[in-house]
This record gives sequence, C-alpha cells and structure tokens, in this order.
Amino acid sequence: MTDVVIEKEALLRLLNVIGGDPEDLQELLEDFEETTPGTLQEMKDAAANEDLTALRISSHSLKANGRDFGAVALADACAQLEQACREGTVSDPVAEVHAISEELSRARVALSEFTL
Amino acid sequence: MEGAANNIDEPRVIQSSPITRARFGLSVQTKFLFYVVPLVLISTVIVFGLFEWNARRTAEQQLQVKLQRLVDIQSAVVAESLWNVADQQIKLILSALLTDSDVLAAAVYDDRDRLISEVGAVDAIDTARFSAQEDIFYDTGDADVRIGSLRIVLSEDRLAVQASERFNFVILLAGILLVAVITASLAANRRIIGRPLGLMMEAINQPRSAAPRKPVDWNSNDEIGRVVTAFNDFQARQAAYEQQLHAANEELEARVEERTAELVDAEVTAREARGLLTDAIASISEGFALYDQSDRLIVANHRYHEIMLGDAEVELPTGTPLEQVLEKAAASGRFPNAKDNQELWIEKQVGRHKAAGTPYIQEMAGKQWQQVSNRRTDQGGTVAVHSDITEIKRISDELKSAKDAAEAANEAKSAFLATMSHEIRTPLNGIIGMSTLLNGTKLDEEQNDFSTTISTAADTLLTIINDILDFSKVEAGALELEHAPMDLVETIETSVEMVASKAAEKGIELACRINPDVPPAMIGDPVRLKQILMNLLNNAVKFTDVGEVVLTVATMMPDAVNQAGETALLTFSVRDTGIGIPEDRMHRLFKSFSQVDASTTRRYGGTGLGLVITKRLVELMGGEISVESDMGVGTTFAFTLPAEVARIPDRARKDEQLAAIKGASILIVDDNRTNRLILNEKLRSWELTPRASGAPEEAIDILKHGSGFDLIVVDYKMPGMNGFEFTKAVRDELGDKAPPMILFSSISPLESQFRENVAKLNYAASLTKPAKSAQLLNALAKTLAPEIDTEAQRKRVSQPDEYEVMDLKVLLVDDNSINQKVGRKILKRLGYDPVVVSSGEEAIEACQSDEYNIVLMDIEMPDMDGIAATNRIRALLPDDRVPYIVALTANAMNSERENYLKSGMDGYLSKPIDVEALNDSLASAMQLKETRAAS
Repeated sequence: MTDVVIEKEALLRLLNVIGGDPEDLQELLEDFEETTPGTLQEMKDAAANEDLTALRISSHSLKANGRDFGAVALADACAQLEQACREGTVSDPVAEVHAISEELSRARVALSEFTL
Repeated sequence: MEGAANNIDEPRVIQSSPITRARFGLSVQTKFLFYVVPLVLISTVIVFGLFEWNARRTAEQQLQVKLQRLVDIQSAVVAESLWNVADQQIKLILSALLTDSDVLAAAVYDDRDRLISEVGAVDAIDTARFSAQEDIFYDTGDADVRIGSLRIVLSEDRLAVQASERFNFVILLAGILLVAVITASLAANRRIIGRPLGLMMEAINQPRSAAPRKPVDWNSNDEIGRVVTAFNDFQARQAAYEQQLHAANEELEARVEERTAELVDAEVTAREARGLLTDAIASISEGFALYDQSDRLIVANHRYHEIMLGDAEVELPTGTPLEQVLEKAAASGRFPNAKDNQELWIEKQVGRHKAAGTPYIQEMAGKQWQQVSNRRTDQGGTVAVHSDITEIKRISDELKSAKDAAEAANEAKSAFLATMSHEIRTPLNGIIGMSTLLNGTKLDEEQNDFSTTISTAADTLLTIINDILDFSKVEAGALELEHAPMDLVETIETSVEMVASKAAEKGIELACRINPDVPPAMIGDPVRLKQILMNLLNNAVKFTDVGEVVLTVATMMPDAVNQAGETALLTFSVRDTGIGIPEDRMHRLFKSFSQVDASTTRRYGGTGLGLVITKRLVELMGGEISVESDMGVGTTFAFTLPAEVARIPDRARKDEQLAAIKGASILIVDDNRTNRLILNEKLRSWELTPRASGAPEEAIDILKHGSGFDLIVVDYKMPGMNGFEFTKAVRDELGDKAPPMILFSSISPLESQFRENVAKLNYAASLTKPAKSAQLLNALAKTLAPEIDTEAQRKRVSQPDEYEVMDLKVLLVDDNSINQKVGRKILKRLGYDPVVVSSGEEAIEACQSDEYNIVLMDIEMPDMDGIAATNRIRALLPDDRVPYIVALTANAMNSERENYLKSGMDGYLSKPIDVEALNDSLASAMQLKETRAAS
C-alpha cells in the first residue's frame, strides 16, 4: 500500500552498473543530496525569468538524475516540464517548478533511508 | 693503263682525232691565251718602257755633255776672233760648228749681249731645249775679260731618230716574244692538258654499247694524270654497276612475269568472289550500300534501293554521289523529316555518313523505323547498313513504359511502407508502453488479467507488423545487414533465453550446445541472427509437445578459428522432437504466407512469414538453409553461415576465471542426456574434469565411494528424486565433506516457494536452464575460486592498463555532475580511465589537444548541445583523427535516435546507460581504431 517514491530496482541497477560497490553508491547518493538543490534553484530562477530554454535544460538534468536514482515521480514531472518547454506550452512555470520541488523533497527524504 | 673492271678485253689506246683535238684545244687554250697575251704585253711594255726611258735619258745626258763641251771649247776658240772683231772669222767658226749634225744653231753675243753673229735655225735659239750659253773670256795678259758669250743649240733630231729606232726594235722584239710565248703555251697546253682531256671526252662520248669500255691511255705524274686515273677507275666501276644492273633487271623481269601470271589467277579468283559477295549482299534483308572515299556509290543492293527510293528497280549507277542519292530519297517522300527542309535533312545525313560512328535511328513514312549504321572501311570508304527495327522499337517502347510504371509503383509502395511503418509502430509502441506501465501499477486480479491480455495482444500485433514490414523490405531487396563484431556465444544464448520460458511452460527441454572450436566473435548482424534463431527455436517449441529442442552450433573449418580476419563457416541446427512435417508439404515451407496446412495456422497461430524471412536473411548473409523431418519423430532445421572472425572484447576476465578453476572436477547430475552431453562438453572445453550421471541415485553412489568432486551441478527436475532431495541426501551422506552445489532449473527462480527452498539449501548458485556460459562460468569461478573475484575487481579499478585488449582513450561529455560520476564509475569498472568534461566547448578543446578514440556525448547541454559540438569536432579535425562519437540521450523516441545518426553521430546510447550497449559502442570504436591503424 505504500506509495513508491523510490523504485528500488533502479537503485539496484545503478549499483550494478557502477560495479556493485556500495561505497560508490553512497558517494553518488551524497552527490545527489548536494547538487539537486542547486539545480532546483536554477529552475526557480529560470521560471521567474520565463527563460524556457534554461528551464528546459535544468528539467532535463533533474529528470536524468531522478531516473538514475529511481525517483520515478520526480523524473516524470521533470520530463513533462521539459517536453512542455520544448513545445512552448508552459502555462505557469513557477507553479510547475513548485510541484517539482515538492517531489524532490519527497525523493530526498526517501533516499535518505538508503544512506548510511 | 690497266683496266680495273672485269670483262674487259685487251685494252686499246684511244687516239683522239685531230678534229676533236683542234676544236677542243682551241677553247681552253684560247682562254689560256686570254690570260697570257695581255700579261706578256704588259710586261713587255713595262720592261721596254723602262729601257727606253733609261736610254733616252742617257742619250740626253750625252747630248748635254756634248753641248757643254762644245760650248766650252768653242767659246775659247772664238775668243780670239771676237777680240779682234773678226766677224768673218766668227762666222766661219760658227759655220764650222754647223757641220756637226747635232748642232742646230749657234750665236755669239758681245759683252753687252748684242748679237754679233748667228748661224743655223736662229728662231730656235730661244726655244730649244738643248741650248747652252758660255761666256767668252780673253786673256789680256793681266786678267780674263769677258768679251761676250757664245750660245749653241743642239738639235734633238738625233735623239728622236734614235728613239724611233729603238722603238721599232722593241716592237719587233715584243712581237717575237709574244709569238714565242703563244706558241709555247699552245703547245704546252695541248700536250699537257688538251690531249688527255680530249681522250677522256672521247671515252665519255663513246656510244653505249655492249662492248666493255676501254680505259684512257695517259700516264703522267701530275694532276691530269691523277684525274685520268680516277676517270678510268670510275669508268670501270660504272661498267661493273651497269653489269649488275643488267643482271638485276633481267631477274626482275623474270619475276614480273611470274607475278603477272599469279595476278591473273588472283583476278580470276577475285572476280569469282566478288560475284559471290554481290549475290550474298543482294540476298540479305538489310539495305546495304558501299561508298568510296569521295562518298560516291560503288555498289548497293536491291533492299537499299527499296528503302531509300521506294523502288528496287530504280537505277543508281556506280559513281553516283551521296548527295544525289539523298536527293532522290528525300524526293521519294519516304522520310518525314526531309519534308520540311530538304537541304538541311540532306546535309544532316551527309554529316552522319561522313562521321561513320555509332548507329542511329531514323523515322520513315508510315510509322516505320530503321536503324542506320555507317562504318569506315580500310580504304576510307563507307559501308551503310539500314535495318528495319519498327517491331523492335515498338517492343522497346512498351517495355520502357512498363518499366517506368513498375518503378513508380515500387517507389510508391516503398514510400507507403516507410510511412506506414512509422505510423503504425508509433501508436503501437504507445499501447505497449502504456500497458507495461499499467502492469506496474496496483491492479486487482481481473484488471491484471485484462492488462496482461492487452500486452500480449499488442506484442503479437507488433510482431506481426514487424514480420510484414520485414518481409516487404526483404522482397524489395531493401534489407541491409549490419557488419559489426558480435559475441557469438552471447547472441546465441540470448536467443535461446528468449524461448526458455515458453519451453518451460510446455515442459520440454531446451538445450544449446556451442562447439568449443566455434570462434567466440564474428562480424555480422547480431539482431538479424537472433531473429533467425528465435524464429527457428520458436517454431520448434511451437510444434513440439514433448521431448526437447536442441540448438547446435559448430564450425566446418576448425583450424581457421580465432584468427581475426579469417573466414569461418558455421553450421546451426535446431532439432526438435515435434510433430514433424509431411513430405508433400516440405516444398511449401519457405514459401510466403503458407503454413503447412490451414489447420496448423488455427492451432498454432503465426503469420506464415517467419520462415520466408528467415530463409531470405540466411541467404543475404551468404548461407543456405535446409530442413529434414520425420512425421511424428521430429524436425531438424539447419543453416550455414560464412562469416569473418572478429576480435572479442573483454576476454581478460574470462581468461582469469578459467585459469583459476582449471582442472577442477565436477559431477553433473541430470536425467536428460542432451543436457549432460552439452554440459560435459562445455566444462571440458574449459579444461575442467567433468563426470556425468543420469540418475541421482547413481550419483550418490559415486559420491559415497570415495571420488571427491570439487563441485556438483544438479538439475532440479529429475524423476524419482528432485534436485532438492538429492542435495539433502548428499549432505546427509557426506556432511562436511559435501562439495558445493549449483542448481539448474527451468522454473523461474522468482517463484517464492522455490526461492525459499533454494535459500534454505544454501546452493552456491541457482541458474535457469539453459544457462548462459558467462553465468555458469561466473558461478563456477565464484564457488571454486572466490579470491579472484574481489581481487579482479580491485585490480581493474586501480590498474586499468593491465588489460591487454582494451586500449581506448575515452572522453565523457556531460554537464550534470552526477551523470559524470556514474559514467566514470561504469567506465572504470569496464577497465577504462575516461577524461570527463562538462560542456560542448570543453569537448571540442579536448579533442583538439588530445587524440580520443571514442567520445560519449550528452546531447542536452546548455550553451552548446551535443550535436553542435559533434559537428564542430568533425569540422575542425582531419578525417583520420575524428573519434567515434556516441550520443547519450534520455530521449526514448526511436525517430529522435535515428535523427542523431543523421546529424553526424556514430551511434547512440540511451540513459540510464545499458552496459551491454556501451560495450558494443566501445567495441565499434575499437574497430575504428584498428582499421585506422591498419590503413
């Protein structure tokens, strides 16, 4: 019944692909924790300035990271925003970014359970 | 003089005739005299002139002397008389003077120069040349007193006379001299020059006769003599030449006669041949005409007349110029193009005739067409051949329009297919994607059922569509095969794996056996090979209810193995124990759209296209496919595949593992004979010591009686005792000494009950059948030599250069720091040490300053995206330095992926990165590097 925020398979896949060393995975999780706020801030700034190109690129970046770590909801939201930016059909960028920031918070909380 | 030539009779001296002599001598001698006479005259004149002058001077001097003396003396003589003024006496004295003939006049003057007396030619006194005046002195006793002067004039007459005498004398002498000289020269000339020349002249002028020439008889040691000698020699030689000439002439005449005779024969033959040829030409159905170099008609057959003039009977006499023939042809109205502008048409035809090049087509009245061919002959003439091609042209025109129509239709079909392919697949992919997602969400049983059905139906539909599209591509000849190195074992085992679950469901054994001497890697199209294998395996499983399906791969040339670049011939065979194929249906097997019979279609499903496509693919790859079958027993499909052996990536780890487990003894327990054989072979090829047993009880017996094994491989599904029971039994029997065990099963290990048991029994590994070689090897290595595992990992991370094969410089381009880290870790694990940059610009710089073999280029980057960076790199670097560039993209759309290739990427990988695909790209980059190094 739990809402799956983090897809464990994705994490396992990531672990596998980088060589199976849990320490490496740890390093990456820490990186995620460190860098994602910065990316989010970029997105907020871009939304405020209505800079769709910058917004698209940042969304793409966060989407990729989300996918890597199994944050499916986060990744999907970013994907949608990226596509909308590409098509130029973003109605309320600030609101979209706000929704994404909530997803990110959830993902970070969930991921923290995996960190030592 | 001796004759120098042969055939000369006794030489006879030639005497020149007087007439010739005289006539001849005159001309040269006259010339000679023309030189001599003037010379003589002039010298005579000069010499005698000098003499004369001298003589005259002397004479004059003498006269002068005489005069002076006379005057001196007579002045003294007359002195007395003058003193005494005895005029008479004086006159006497003076008259006495006159007796000398020389004296012309004399006169005496007194001391006052008055004339006292004079005698002779007194008028001459003042004017004469020889005139002397002397003072008369009288000696008075005291002194000499001048009392007067005496003048005497001498006459020059004597001188003149003398002079003329002398002159006459000279003339005489000169005359004599001249005559003498002339005579002398004439004589000399004649003797020395004239005669021999005359002789030679005669010899030359001698009329030509058969008698041999006689030499000129003249001997002298001078130039003339030498000339005569030369002349004689010349004459002799001349005679010899004439002789030879004569002889040659005679021979020639003989030969000419011969040849003339031959010629006459030849002419007869030629005439006959010409007659035959004319008959032949007249009888052929083409119009034939021969023109000479000046484009005048030599001969033309009836058909030519017919074609050009419309009437075979009209006369075209030999020598008719081409233009005239053409005029008549134009006038006949048979050439529509000539109607408008006759002159231009004639000019054009003449041009073509003269050009005598490629044949051309000409339209004639009544929709007829002829082909005209003009050819140059060796003599510069022209042969014109006119053939009627009306029928041929009609057929050719029809064919052309049919071909155009067919091509247009084909193109339309291909365009349609391409569009349809995309249009159909897109929504279908959507359905499949969505149903997969749906399956992942929370569903109750009924919903799950529905969802699964949708998935299955969509998958089936996709397969059918792919089949149809593949089929039409194959039919249109538009299928292109890839040429990439592929891991054979991997490809084959993957195909088998795909069919494994279906086989397990039906309860039939699925086995895969790859001969140890099959080369591990080949150049080919792995996707298509998988397609072929899966088609055959699927069919086998489909039509088999009990028993087994076995795929065997072997090589026909075991020695050719493992040398990259060599060609090997592989044989694949899929043997099943299914329902079989009746003999009368065999020939329809590979035909499109036919299954063996309609009932099988209903029962077993399928489009009926699979085998056709398989056959075409095999043939495209250069192989052949065949089938054998026994009703109710089974079927075997087999195909050959020639392919080039390739280098296999990443053997190193495998080699290490093999080295670590070498020689270990393994006990195989499996009731299926085929499986035992395959495992046995595989383990043996890995240099292990396997032993197989078909019954678990027997195996336990073997173990009981002492043979120690390093590891046991046991199948789960066995009659009597299953895998679990066997393991328990062994553990009970041997306790601590029980070797580690690996379990093989067809049941998916995800089934929880099964998994629990596996966990409880603490197997070293649990593998699904058929086990991939790599998986089995890994399990063995982990069990038998666990140290190397972690060691290998550590080694790889710290010293990637140790690996002999992988030697690529990798550049990773991604703006996202986490992606960079992940990418770096993945690559390090594979043994590479990549350089990582964060932007397109940095990538360009890096490629310029260092040589990279492969660039993993993220597409979505700020400032400069991956495509732009790639294009810059390609533009800036020379062709042989450009690395293999792979796009890293999170875009899942296939169309997007194809676009990347079109935009200049060498390949693409989707994110998250799939290690196998990454390895493929790395292998391709390695290939590129090796190809460049080789060239």
